[in-house]
Amino acid sequence: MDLDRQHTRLPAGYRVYIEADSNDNEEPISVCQALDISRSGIRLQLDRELALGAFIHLGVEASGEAPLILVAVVRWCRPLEAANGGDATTHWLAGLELQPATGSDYESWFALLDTLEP
Amino acid sequence: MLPAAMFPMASSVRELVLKRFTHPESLLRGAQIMAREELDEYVAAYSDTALSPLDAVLRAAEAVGDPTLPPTAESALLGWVGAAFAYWEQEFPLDPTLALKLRALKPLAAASALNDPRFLQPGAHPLHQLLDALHDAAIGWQAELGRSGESVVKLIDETCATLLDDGLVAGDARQRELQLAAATESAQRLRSRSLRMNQRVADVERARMRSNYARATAAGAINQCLGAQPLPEVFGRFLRGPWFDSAQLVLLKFGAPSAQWTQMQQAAQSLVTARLPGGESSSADAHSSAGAIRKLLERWLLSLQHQPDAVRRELGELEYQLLRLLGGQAVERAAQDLIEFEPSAQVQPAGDPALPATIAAEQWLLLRESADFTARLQVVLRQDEQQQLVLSHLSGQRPRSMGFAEFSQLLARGAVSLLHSGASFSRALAVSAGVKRAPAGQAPASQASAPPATALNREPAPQQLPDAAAPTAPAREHRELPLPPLGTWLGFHDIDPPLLAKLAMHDAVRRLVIFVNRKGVELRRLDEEQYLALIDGGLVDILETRSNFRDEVERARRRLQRHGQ
Repeated sequence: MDLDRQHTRLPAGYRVYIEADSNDNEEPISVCQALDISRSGIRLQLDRELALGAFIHLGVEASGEAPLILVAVVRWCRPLEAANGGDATTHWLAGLELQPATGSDYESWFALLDTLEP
Repeated sequence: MLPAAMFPMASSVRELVLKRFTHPESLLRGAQIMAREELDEYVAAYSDTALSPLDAVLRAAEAVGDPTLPPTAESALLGWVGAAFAYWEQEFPLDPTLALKLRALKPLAAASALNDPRFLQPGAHPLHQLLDALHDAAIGWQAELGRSGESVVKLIDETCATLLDDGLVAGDARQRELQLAAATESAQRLRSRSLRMNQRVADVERARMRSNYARATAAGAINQCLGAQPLPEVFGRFLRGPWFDSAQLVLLKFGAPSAQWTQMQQAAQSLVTARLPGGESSSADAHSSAGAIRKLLERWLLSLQHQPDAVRRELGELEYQLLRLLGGQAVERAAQDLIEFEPSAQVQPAGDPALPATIAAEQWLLLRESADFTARLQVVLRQDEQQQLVLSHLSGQRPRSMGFAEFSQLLARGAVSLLHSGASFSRALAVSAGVKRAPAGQAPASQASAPPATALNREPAPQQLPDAAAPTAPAREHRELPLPPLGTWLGFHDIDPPLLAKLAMHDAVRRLVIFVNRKGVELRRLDEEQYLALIDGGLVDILETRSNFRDEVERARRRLQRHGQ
């Protein structure tokens, strides 16, 4: 499934902070990885399943500076093994669509993409 | 001091001014009287605005060897304007930088007093209204505000430049009126904007105080359960987790003195003191007791009300441990971590100092913070229940909370004084003319029950602009949404039982606010109007049971950095 018909996808190994699954984890924040990014979305590899349609808060650490705080909606989520044969119980891939949320760093995200896109 | 609500005055103060400011006949005997045209020229040339208009005219005449004196009535008018400005600067002090800038309008006031009969009706002349409005907009300004105060300085600079460019007596009276009206409107807009921003601060702070109070009260009660004796770990986790969240919702919804809060505390007690009556116990007894306790707890588990799976999981674990405990099996117990909270957020004990009624929302204060700095602060919120004040600089900048006790100490030390505003220049004109009280029927109702005069409350409180059409409250369509940071938990009390939900996002384009559960699943979607209506109705509490997302991310990032990742 492609989130990104209008915008270029760029590979990215950024660290991404998301809210932990509070039922399983004492830490409020867990860390996962962005596989690729675009102006409208981000693809994550993470260790838990995200509910379809859920609103997720993300902190994307792009360049050692303060993470960009973003809001996204989960458009798809599937076990990693479906993609490349990994362990479905521990790794998942998720496609997230970014939202223009007040108080987020949505505009800074666009500024970041301006510097990255060819 | 005269109440702001009595302006504009319906009648002229000319007779009072002439009576008060006319020199005794003996002083003028034999003096030559200045021609009116000459007087106008002297007023037009008036540039040393530290002087009163009358002194300026007399000095200028003396400097050129002119032996004439202004006519009696004109002399009285100029004396009155000078006295009014002096009173205005003394009793309604702005930051000296702005007071100096506004003195530039003193010659215009003098010229208007000589040429326009409306000037003799305090509050009726457009220049009175402008100075009143500028004062209201500028009262909180001080240089330390930096960029956030720039709009006030710009407005005053531009207003003075516009009005003085055309000379004191503008050729086109209509044009002058339009200039004055436009500047007044700009000042009123600036003040309204500041009020809106303060309202936003008040909304957020009110919710924060209530949630802090609920958090502290809930934590205090639960900590008593946690600290009384060693408990099974699962009990501790439950009490610190969903039970704590639920306790805050109950407190926000019903308050601490309520039967509901008492029952909830009793339910927690039944959990931590669970044991069967002495003597032989059967498995059936244990099941019955464990089931009863589970039922008690479930009733108050409001924070998980939309998550039946989570309720089953939480209570299932508890019930299992209860069964083991009540069945006489060995269950590991340990001292439990307590919930951290700020005890100061709890209700202050009775007997703490009450504050004068004048320390109310919108009242400006001068607070001496050090030997060389005095802050101009506005009371944004007064919460008697929590005995807390929220003060902020102009336009809601740098808000801070202060307990009544601390504020009372500052009062006692003389470190706080009131700054008066509202029809300030009109009031100064009237007082200087000798008006001593509001005409019958014009005094605001609040005067009748005003507290006895003290150094702090000698002025009745009304702060409204004299123009009834002037905006005194933000129009709904321009109101900014009182939104907490992303990820903040809110309690909605328009639903029974209350709904606990997290702020997922505000979409400014679609004017929507979306709330979710802890997994991000949407629970509620409100348009801005609906959200504001709930806020206005006191039906939304901003809970801070968890920090906001940005702060949490920053903490996680620092933690990783400490571990070299």
